[in-house]
Amino acid sequence: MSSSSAPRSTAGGALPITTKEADPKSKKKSASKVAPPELNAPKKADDVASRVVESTASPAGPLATIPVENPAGEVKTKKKTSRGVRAGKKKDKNKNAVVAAKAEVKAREEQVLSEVVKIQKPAASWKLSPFVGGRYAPLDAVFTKDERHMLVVQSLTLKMYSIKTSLLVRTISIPVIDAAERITTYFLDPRTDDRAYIATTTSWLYLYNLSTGEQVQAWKLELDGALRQVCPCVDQESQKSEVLFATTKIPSTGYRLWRFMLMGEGKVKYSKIYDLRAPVTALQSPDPERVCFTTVNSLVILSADLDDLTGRLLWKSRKFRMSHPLMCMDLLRVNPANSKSKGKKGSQRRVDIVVGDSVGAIYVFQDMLKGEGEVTPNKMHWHRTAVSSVKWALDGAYIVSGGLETVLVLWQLETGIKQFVPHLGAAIQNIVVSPRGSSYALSLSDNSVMVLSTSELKAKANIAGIQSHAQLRPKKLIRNVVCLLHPTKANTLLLATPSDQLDSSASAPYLQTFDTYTDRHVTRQALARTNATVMTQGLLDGTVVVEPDIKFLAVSSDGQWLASVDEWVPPKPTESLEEDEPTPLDPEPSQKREIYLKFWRWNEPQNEWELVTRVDTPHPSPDGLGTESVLDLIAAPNGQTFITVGGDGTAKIWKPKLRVRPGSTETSVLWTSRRSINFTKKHLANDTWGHAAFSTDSSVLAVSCPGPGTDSLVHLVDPATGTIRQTLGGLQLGRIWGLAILDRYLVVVGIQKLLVWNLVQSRVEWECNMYDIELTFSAAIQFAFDPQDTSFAISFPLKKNNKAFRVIVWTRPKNPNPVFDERIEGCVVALKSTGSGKGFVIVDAQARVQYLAPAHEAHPSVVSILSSGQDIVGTEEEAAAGMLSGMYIDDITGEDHMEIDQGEEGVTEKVVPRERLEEVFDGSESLHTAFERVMELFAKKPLGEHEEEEEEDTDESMQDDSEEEEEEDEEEEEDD
Amino acid sequence: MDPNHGLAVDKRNPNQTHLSMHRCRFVDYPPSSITAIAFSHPSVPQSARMPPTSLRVAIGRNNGSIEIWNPLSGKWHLEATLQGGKDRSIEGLVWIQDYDENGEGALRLLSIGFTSVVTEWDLETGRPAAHLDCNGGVIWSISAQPRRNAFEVPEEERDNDELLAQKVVVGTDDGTLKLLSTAGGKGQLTFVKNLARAGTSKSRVLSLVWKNRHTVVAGMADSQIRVWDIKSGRSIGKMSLNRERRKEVLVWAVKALRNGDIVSGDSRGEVTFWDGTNYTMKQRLQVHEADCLTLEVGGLNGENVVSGGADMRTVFLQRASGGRGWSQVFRRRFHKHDVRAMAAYESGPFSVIVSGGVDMYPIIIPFRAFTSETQRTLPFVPQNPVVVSVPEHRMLMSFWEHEVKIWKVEELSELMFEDMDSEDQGRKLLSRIVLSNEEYITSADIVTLPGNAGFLLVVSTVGEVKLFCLRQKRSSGVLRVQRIAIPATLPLKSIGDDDDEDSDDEEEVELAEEGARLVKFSPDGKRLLIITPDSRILMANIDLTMSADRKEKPTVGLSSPIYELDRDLPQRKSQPRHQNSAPSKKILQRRQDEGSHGKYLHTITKATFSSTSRLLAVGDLAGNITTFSLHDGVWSRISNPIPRLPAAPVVLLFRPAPQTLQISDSAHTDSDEDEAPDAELLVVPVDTHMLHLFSATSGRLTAWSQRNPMPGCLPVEFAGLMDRAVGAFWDGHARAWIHGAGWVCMFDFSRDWKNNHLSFDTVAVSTEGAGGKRKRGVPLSVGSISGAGGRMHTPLMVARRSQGKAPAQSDAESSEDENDGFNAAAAVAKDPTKRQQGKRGGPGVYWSSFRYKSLLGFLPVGTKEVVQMFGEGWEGRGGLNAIEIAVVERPIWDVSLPPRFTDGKS
Repeated sequence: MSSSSAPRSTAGGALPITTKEADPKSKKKSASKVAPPELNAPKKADDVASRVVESTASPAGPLATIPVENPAGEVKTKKKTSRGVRAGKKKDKNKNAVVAAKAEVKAREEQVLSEVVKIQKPAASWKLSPFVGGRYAPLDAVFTKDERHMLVVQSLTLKMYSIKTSLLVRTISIPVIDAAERITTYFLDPRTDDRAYIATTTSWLYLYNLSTGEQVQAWKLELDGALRQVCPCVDQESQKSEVLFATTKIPSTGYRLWRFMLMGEGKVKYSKIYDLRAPVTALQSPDPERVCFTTVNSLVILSADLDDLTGRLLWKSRKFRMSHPLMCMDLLRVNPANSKSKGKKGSQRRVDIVVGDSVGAIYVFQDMLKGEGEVTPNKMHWHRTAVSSVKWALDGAYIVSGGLETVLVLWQLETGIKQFVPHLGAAIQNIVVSPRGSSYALSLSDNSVMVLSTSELKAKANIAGIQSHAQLRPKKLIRNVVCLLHPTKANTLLLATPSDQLDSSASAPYLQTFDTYTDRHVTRQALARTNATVMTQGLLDGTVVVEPDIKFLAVSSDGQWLASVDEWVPPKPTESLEEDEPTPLDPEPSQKREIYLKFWRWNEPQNEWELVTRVDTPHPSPDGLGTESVLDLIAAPNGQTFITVGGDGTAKIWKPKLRVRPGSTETSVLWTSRRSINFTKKHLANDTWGHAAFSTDSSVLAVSCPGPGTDSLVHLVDPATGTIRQTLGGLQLGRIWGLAILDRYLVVVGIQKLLVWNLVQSRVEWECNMYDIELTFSAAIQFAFDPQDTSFAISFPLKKNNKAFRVIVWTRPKNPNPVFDERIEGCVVALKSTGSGKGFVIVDAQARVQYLAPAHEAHPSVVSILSSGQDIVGTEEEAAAGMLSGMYIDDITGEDHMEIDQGEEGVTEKVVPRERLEEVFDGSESLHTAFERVMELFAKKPLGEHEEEEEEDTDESMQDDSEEEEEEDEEEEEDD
Repeated sequence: MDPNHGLAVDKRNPNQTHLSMHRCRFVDYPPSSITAIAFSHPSVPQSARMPPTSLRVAIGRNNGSIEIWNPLSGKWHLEATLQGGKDRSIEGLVWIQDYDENGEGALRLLSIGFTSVVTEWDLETGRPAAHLDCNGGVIWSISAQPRRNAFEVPEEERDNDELLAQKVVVGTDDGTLKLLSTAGGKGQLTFVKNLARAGTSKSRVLSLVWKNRHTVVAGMADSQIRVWDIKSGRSIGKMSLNRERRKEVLVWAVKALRNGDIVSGDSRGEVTFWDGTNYTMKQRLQVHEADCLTLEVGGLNGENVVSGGADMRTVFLQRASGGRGWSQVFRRRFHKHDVRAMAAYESGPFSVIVSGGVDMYPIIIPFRAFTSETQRTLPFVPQNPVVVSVPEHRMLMSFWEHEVKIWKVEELSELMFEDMDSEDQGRKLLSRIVLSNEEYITSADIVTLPGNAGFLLVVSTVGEVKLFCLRQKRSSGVLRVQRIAIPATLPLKSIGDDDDEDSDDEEEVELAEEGARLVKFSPDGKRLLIITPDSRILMANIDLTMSADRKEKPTVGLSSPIYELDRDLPQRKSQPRHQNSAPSKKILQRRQDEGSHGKYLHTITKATFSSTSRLLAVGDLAGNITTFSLHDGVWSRISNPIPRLPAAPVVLLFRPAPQTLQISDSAHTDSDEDEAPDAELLVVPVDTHMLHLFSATSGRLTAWSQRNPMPGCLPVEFAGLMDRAVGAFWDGHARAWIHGAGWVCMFDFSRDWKNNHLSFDTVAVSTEGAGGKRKRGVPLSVGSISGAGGRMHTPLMVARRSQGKAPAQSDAESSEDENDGFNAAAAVAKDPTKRQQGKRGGPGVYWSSFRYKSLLGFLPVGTKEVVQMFGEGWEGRGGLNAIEIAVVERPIWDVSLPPRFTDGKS
């Protein structure tokens, strides 16, 4: 193969993208063609397996790593190039396994370090897309004054959403200075409507124009320590310059409260006003001479008097000690109706303060500007746990509060009546009352923001991000996110999500469908039972009944079937929640645990997955008492088949069966295990693992399981007969993390090495010692492969702290030269193939999605367009909606679109599915044919012809599949 | 329930005898729920003074009894129980005060039950003084007109008794209000007029309050609050609560605020505020999940309202100055069941709410300082013992309501431990006597008759005294009861140093009909002491004739005459006024009329015989202790009286004579009475809990008491107890056991105690020192200034403006007196080693336990017993002397409560 002999000299500039033998489109149909010529002829998969067995007869012998001397000069040349290290590892010319020379290890390590830091990757071949999605910062959302838009923050970007349509309107990105930088506070300019202040941890304060998205001004605040909070003064009528209060964390001494005035032209006037030990939890200021804040156990009100002699402000504090830590605070400024006389400050108006504490009590302090005498706050207690947020309604007649209970509580102060908005689905983190009081914005802990109308308490808008687990502390072990990309609907990410993301030990019983293209949440559906409407109640010993956790997800290649595995373990009294690695389970709970394999059919009209079959114990224990865990679940590359690997040492092939009830015309589908392949006699240990991989033509099934010692075995199974044709052992792989059959090669990622095995010739094509790429054992290793493109990728943390990851992509199994090797800042929690040669998708702990794709595969995303081109006009919702839903129509077939447009509904309905467009552009056709096909898509569609065609096509394919299956079924029966 | 056995052994002190304890829970005393609470004086929040000494709280219970509690500056002493009767209940209580220029008019207590009768109680006798049938329906509510101060009475009304006296208004179930006059002094109740019924509604009048002296506000059962003017007798206003879902709203509580506004609590759980002039609604607050049953108002400017409801909650409402009306400030669930009744009293620093309900505990809640002080729960068990024992026969007798029960407590050795599981093990009910009287038992006593003739039982109510002879069946051990008739009239002979003419008069007493407050046998079983309801002391000799034939039953009777012993109390005002000079008008304005309780304070509450039955001591509520001695069969008052105590004695007990001495029945008149071995009298006054040993014959402190001056030598822990002492007994000559409702203490009087230099005037809270340590322990204060529990350890919220300021409590106290005693006490509190000693009171002289809750009694139940101990280093020596004690508990969880409205979980 020509790719295997890619010259090293080219590594530095651009790795050559070797032209493929067949274009990706044709590969699908002729998967068998890719297989070695010997395998071409037989229709029956048996032959493949038999071939494999034959080849086993003369094994390649012990797989020794043979150091190959690399000339020193070569190394030096490599150094110059960015690809030096990996080039050194590659062993290409000869087919035997190539291993890096041990003598070079040290030198290489240094190079790696320096390389990662210094050298820019060759961007030519593969590149990373901008981020999509992300976690909303735990800050109060901000309404624009006209209440038509809402501002939320994702780490360093400010996003403006339309409340009417829940769509993204504008993205403002802060220039990145430091990777750890975050937006700490943002608020609208109290004076003008369309400007917003944004403050970051690095003490930068920016003023942005919201209508243009341009930065108006930036101040570098010369404060000691990292900025934590900034608050504007509500009442600034008397001030010429903007007055702000801020807190900073001073490394050793504690926290400091500042007051500063923005003088324009980037000039700022500071004054330190208060030092304290404990962190400030909430900060608000009613006017330029007063500021209120809460620290751990007290509420403090600072008020200033002008010292006549010095002309400086003297700050006096008034402190109220509370019995429990305060979590949140809100001020209410009440101006009496007859406040014509603005004589003395504070004489007319009053300020009421509400605070919420960590045990759920809410205290209302009335008229706190008086500043004298004993104060008895009103105590109101409904919340069971900490009050996350409490806010005054505009008129002061109501208080709104929320917390872990997922209930929004409205307190009518006058009558003491409480009103509840229950079952919000996730814990409330922040509540904001809109400036006119018409809506509440609730930030929920499932990475979504909900806008409720105050009058009907109905949801107006819902903005949700990717709801994967939040990784609050990076040093903790990473929890991988179970997710996959939908095989037919491009850019649709299916994720197993928890109800509470902030709890890293929470189970994930939900399936979220997220469109990475528009950066929009599509649906969320429970795949296992949830505690959504039940207040989490601990048992007597304090443990909490957890929800079942989705362990695996797989979708059949036609996108019609979803298989899921969820596991529920009874609560253990002394459960160490820190462990994310598979832990040895006590036999007792393992017998009580529940493992379900569920098969779901896509219900298009309902737009949800419909449960068809639930298998209660897919892999029963040998003793018949309990259930063994499911170790892996994969979908066959074609047809409606799923494979599970269980802890009982068997792999099972699951297929649907049509059932007709006697006397009924309705048919129902039942998924059953058609074949059970027992690959080990002995009972596997509890902390076992296993992986399965299918060859593209479904003729070989590879199953990995623990072998003798610390090594692993890979069994090659003929799925048709269920016999093990060959067992690969002694490969010294260590524990296997991933397994794939690409073309005629078996790719195995073990702890010790990455190995490519030539199935036909039964020999090691090449292998790569993990030590050389600095891979250390970690639960965070991810492996993904694309069988059509025969590319595969691994990602792993560079250091123990999981802050940076390294991602390596190979496109040819035979070629040990990776096409992509980059360090990625952030924590990769999932790496998946996007299918058909378009690269990989990376989900990180920040709930962001990044595409890793060949350079020519530009990932088209509305979001990326929006974030890159800020000059898109259209603050109007209608314009935005049109822009988003009909992007292509507007751009490509504007006139046609106008004709077919039957109003807004029509627009959304007649959008051409993206995947069709992608198919068009994926192909390497000439521009002319591409144009024709696009025109086909758009122009013919209104007439309905094209749709019919499509339907016919799919029908045919379906029929084919089913025929094949039937054939197979028959065969199996015969076998039995 | 089984008696639990324990052996408390102090190994360090071999002199100490063994102690075997029977933990008994089988005495099924039925406490009764609280239905009404009333303070004897109106609340005066703006006053700076401490409350008057005549302040009392009457707590009415569902069984018809009324308890009179003395707040006693936060110590809360149950002085008297006006026993109720069968099928009676107290549904409302009100105190009135006769008008007196000096503000010393008699305080009178009125009550209503579920009848058409208003009852006035005579506190001196514990009997109803008058009944007034209002000739209407059942009375549901009662309220008294505000009292008049002398200065505010215009000249022309000075002589008009009707105008001066407080009127009382009652509301009936047919919707009419009836106005009663109390003019004329004790026992005078007259019907004045009906207030015209408003409209056609015949619904019940559930609550009543006087807005001022001529306006009555009534909460009705038909969702209305109506206002009457008593001058015209017409309804002048109506406030309507909307019916909800066709259900009438019941206005359970209505109160008037200081500014004339009206606040009501209703069956929807809402508290509603009404404008007092226009009778329009101002604000409505949903504060309870179930019915709001009771309300109280208070605060310096009337800014506090407290409500209690059927959801067990007590809610504090407050009006912030310049705020947006009333708001709920704080709520707690003090009670475990419905909060039925509440009464608030504020005067100076004293500021409490007494609340009670179905769960039977009265709870004292700090009113103004509700954020910084704790509540105090008073015991629900009787504060006068209802259990007595006959240790020689291992018998335990209990008496309440109509019932007397006598148990036998079996010996420890008879019990096998495997039998412990069964319910009835360890005891045997020997007899249960149910009286047919209407009234409840006030007192009972039992004594062993000499010569194996059985037992003699005396039972008294306020209207009767009954004698029974009990004989044990040989076979079963069950007691056979035989009533002994008391002659209808018995000659009465007064004894005392009266004039001869008195004694010459042949008086007669209808002993059986007289009734008694307290009955007691002398230890030798030869005499019966009867304290009549009006606190006369009668002494009867018991006539026992044994027939020669042993088969024949001995005959028992009272021999005539009955002797009356005169206490010869000084005829002076029990409560001297503070200022004798005419008060200025300004003071008068602030002054609260103290009122007087008349001879109520002379009520005898304690009486005791000496172990030789030749000395008698009685103590009354005022603190007077009178002693009598028997000479040649004649009782005479000892001329050297024991000095008057500052407060009523809670323990009055003669110390038994040492065993070695043989005292003949005929006293040696020539012997020095001071040195009489059985004349030492243990006296514990209720306010300070100081332990005094007086010599009854000389009236002086004994040598021991002189060596151990009080309160300096008082064990620190004992001095800090909140609950007052209830009962006591002597264990031999040396040791005395005293118990309260939740504690047991033992004192060794054979040795001298450590002087802790305690001083009661200045024992104050040092919140820094030991405040957070534990609830009891170092006695830093007894009760609290505010009248409720102590300071909270973690206050809800403290404004830290004034730094370094000590808590108000110690301020108040230290300003009173700042002498060395306090510092010494504080030093004791701070020094851990000293504290240990203080707690112990020196090795072996003091011991206490708080293990037992709701004690009905702590009594010896067996005579000295020899317990064989093996091992543990005990030498044989033929065993040890052990005293067997029955700890009689009545845990609240054994008392069944009616089902609750809410389960408390929602």
